Amino acid sequence: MMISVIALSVLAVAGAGLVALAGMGILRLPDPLTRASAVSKAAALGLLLIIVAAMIAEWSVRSLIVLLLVLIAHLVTTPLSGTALARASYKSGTARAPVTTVDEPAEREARKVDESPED
Amino acid sequence: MTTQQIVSSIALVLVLLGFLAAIIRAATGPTRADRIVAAELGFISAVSAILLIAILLDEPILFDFALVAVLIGFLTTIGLARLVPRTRDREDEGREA
Repeated sequence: MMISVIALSVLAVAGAGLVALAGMGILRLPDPLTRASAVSKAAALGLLLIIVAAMIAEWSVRSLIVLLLVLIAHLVTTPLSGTALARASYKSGTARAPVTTVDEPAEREARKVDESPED
Repeated sequence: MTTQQIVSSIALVLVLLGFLAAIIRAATGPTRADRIVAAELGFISAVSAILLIAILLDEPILFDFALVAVLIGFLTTIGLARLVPRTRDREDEGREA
């Protein structure tokens, strides 16, 4: 009983703290790409921890099934929406901060041009 | 108050901070992509708040709302991401060539 309360407390506060941290990231980071990175990693992990905390808090078969569905839906959909968002903001090409120097799509294009045997 | 209620209240305050940050970014954010990222953070903190309220009130029926909200939030983000204008295709044609 006691252990479950401790685990629930740690998980819920850590998850909510990660969501607050994502909020700080979305305010402090310089451009849309880095902000999307903060949301799709920190906030997604925070929600995951809160789901596990809810599983511990309401320990019954019915809520376990529903929460497992929430967990699977969240795990499957969050990377997809994060990638779609990052691709859209990359393609819009606006406002990249000077500190955001890594540009893998452009590097891949450059390598493709370099390694092509003919032309 | 039990420990469970105190802990979920503290966590709710933290989630609220994240939600306020999302609102500020959605109001001020210079580009449309910023506002859509803020909308996704707002959706994630709303689902977190639903789960924490379910823990706080000891009402497992609220988990169903969280399930629906996760699925709708995914579709919303995909739909909103298509609203980002693809200026790079048009404006950069001459510059990058």
